[in-house]
Amino acid sequence: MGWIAAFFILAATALAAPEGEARFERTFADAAKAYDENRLPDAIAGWEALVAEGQNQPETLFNLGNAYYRNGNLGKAILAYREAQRRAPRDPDIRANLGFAAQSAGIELPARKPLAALLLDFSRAEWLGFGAACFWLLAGALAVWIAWPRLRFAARPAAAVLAALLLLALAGLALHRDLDRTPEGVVMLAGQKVLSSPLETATPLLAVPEGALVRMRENRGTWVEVELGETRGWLPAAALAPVR
Amino acid sequence: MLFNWIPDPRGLVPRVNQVDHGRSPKTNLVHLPRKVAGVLFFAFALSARALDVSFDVQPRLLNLGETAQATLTFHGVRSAPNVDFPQIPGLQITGTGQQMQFGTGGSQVSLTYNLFAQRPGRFAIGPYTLEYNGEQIQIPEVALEVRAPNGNAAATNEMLFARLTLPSDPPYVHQVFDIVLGIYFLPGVELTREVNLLGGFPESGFVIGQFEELQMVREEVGGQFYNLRRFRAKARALTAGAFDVRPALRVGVIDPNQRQQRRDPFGFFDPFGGPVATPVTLPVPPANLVVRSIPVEGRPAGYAGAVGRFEFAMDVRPRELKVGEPITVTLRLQGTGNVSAALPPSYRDADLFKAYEARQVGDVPDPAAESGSKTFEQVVIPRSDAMKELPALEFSFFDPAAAQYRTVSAGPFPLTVHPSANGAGALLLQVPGGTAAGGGSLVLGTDIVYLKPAPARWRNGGGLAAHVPLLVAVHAAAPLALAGLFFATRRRNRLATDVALARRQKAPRIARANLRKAEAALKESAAPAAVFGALAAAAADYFGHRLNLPPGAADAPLILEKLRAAKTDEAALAKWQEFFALSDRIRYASAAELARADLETWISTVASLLRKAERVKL
Repeated sequence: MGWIAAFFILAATALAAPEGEARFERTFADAAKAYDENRLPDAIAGWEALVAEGQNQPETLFNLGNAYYRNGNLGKAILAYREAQRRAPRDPDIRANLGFAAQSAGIELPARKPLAALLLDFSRAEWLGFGAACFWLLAGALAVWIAWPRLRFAARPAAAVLAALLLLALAGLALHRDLDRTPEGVVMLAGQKVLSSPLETATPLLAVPEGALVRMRENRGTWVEVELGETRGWLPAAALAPVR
Repeated sequence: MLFNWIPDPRGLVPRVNQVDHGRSPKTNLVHLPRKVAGVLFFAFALSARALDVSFDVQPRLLNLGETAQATLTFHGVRSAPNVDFPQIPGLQITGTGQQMQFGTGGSQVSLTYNLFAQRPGRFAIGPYTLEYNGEQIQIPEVALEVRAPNGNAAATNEMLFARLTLPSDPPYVHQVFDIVLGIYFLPGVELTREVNLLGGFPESGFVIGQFEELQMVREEVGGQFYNLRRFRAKARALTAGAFDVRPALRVGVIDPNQRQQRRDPFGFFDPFGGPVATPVTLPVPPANLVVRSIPVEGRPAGYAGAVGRFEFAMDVRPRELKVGEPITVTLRLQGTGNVSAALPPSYRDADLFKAYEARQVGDVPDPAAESGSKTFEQVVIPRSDAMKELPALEFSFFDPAAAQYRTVSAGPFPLTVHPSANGAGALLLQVPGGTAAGGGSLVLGTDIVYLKPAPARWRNGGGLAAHVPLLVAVHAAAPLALAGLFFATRRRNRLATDVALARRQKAPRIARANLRKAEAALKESAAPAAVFGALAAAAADYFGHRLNLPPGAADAPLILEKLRAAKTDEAALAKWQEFFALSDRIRYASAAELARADLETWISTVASLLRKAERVKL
């Protein structure tokens, strides 16, 4: 009986998957049509619905950013572009539109150190795949090293190189993990000021426009400690959206 | 540093005894009103025998500014508790240490204190009662007489005190005001240069700048001239309300006698490191500071929190340009007040121009600075050649002196905007402090890149996160497989090089094969010779491999000897003997006829004996 039930469950899943995919395709196409017809709220609603269902691929986020940009929501556009860029860091279209939106908002994208910039030029999924490949190849090299002593002359340097590559992949993953723990945040409201302390009466340190990218360091109630360049200060949590 | 800020979480009340005696428990004196108790009690942990405690002060006649030393001695003990003396108005008692003496006459521990009078007069120290284990030890009163420098014993003016001066009118929120701390001391009294502030200001809600010492002046208080050292800081309240201000100061008073003894005869070199000063804590009478909120009535729409008096100026360049070219607007704010928190007005996007966020350039004023300036730059880009001017901007501030809002303005600025040469589609942008090298222009694309096609694959389920346990399990298999491979390879290598071990490993397998042959022989013919031949081979091969013996060397006597040496139990030995004897008879003499059941029994018996032998260390 158990085998029969499992068969039916698998069959239902296999049938449901194409149906879901067709629905996603239809929603995506409808949103693109709405975008072309300048029905921007409909386009935004369509792509937002896909994102809400977990379909946050770079293509969806990129198009969502375009719709927000055309609709005049610079902060949301930059957020969508940045999230798309985390998933496809070397995509020239995403880079171009993010840069365009950033300069339209009058902001500069945060500069990264060379090594961090290099590591973040690859998405988490890419580092995971690369790391997994290095891991298995390293395991294979170690297996050869253990089982066939005659081939150790080749297995040893191969294992060293693969171990170094695995460490590089782990560094890339650690950087992405760091971005998850203290994410970038996009200022979603205009006229915000970074304050010296989490008090409305605190001294303003810096005015930040809508769409500015900051690093969210610490949450304290309704306030978030942010870092922008060399300035550290506080912004209301309601004015920020984290880049995930 | 002339004036140090030392936040003191213990509060501002001077602690008389600051000596930490380490292993001894600390005991505080409790000063009871004399008319009620007449004595003072304190308890401490000493030995249970009767205590002998003496108390002395020397010298007992002082000039103002000199220091006396008090000694509290516990005789016949090896440790003494820390004792805090109660406060005596006008007399500061500061613990300076502990001295121990051990000798043939017994041991004693002395606690020493510095006594420093802040005004002339007669001070009574005691009487006190030490209470320990129900025993009360009386300490008689000791009188200390302090005379004024002019010898006038009747003078009662304090030698040294401090006052806090706050603004007479309550300040407004964000208004910069002065806080002045003054140290008054009689002429002839010499203070150290360094003065410490022991906190006492509200920890939040205020921005207080560095204290600076003003020129020393002379002031008359109560008919007596005092020298006055003043320390001033600029402060600004961040919130309205009433605040308790209870600062305390610590200053060193140089003992005139020690000053004379250690004076450097040449005026420029002192081998002993300068005069010795007695640290004196000066509590400042507490004050209540009321901070007024800025009035709501008459507040201009564009008011952004500036308090003080400000001037606002603008500069616009270039005044003649084409559509799409940037105009740099310089906004300058200067004046007296909360300059650091004040933000100048700036342009917002309009139909005729696009305005970018204003950015501060130049130095950032100190938050507590009373006056200063701030400069911002803003980029404005004309969208149309219909733009004829940049409109005026207004800056509003609250003037606390006049208690009213004021508004100043700059502009409008006439412009000449020509049509764009390359069409309105291209957008030229120059961002102050941007990445464009040399302040040049950065040409952007004309529009954003168009939409992307739908993803090649849609996600089913929870994505990668849903498969994390499976992925971890799969990857964990690799090190396990490697470990298995390592041990298997090592075993293989050992078996290849260690013949004895290889034969030892092989022995059970050979035995099982021979036992199977015996069972086959039983099935085929049930001939005892064939069965026992296989069983004897099982035993001989097993022990031959097990003991790494040459072929044919494993005979019954040797096997029995080895089994005996391995302390095999007697029943098993007897069974082995019986088996070998029967085996020889059947195989070589054909003397025994055995039934099928007996043969089966012997097969299982030999199998059992071999299993037992496998567990024995031979």
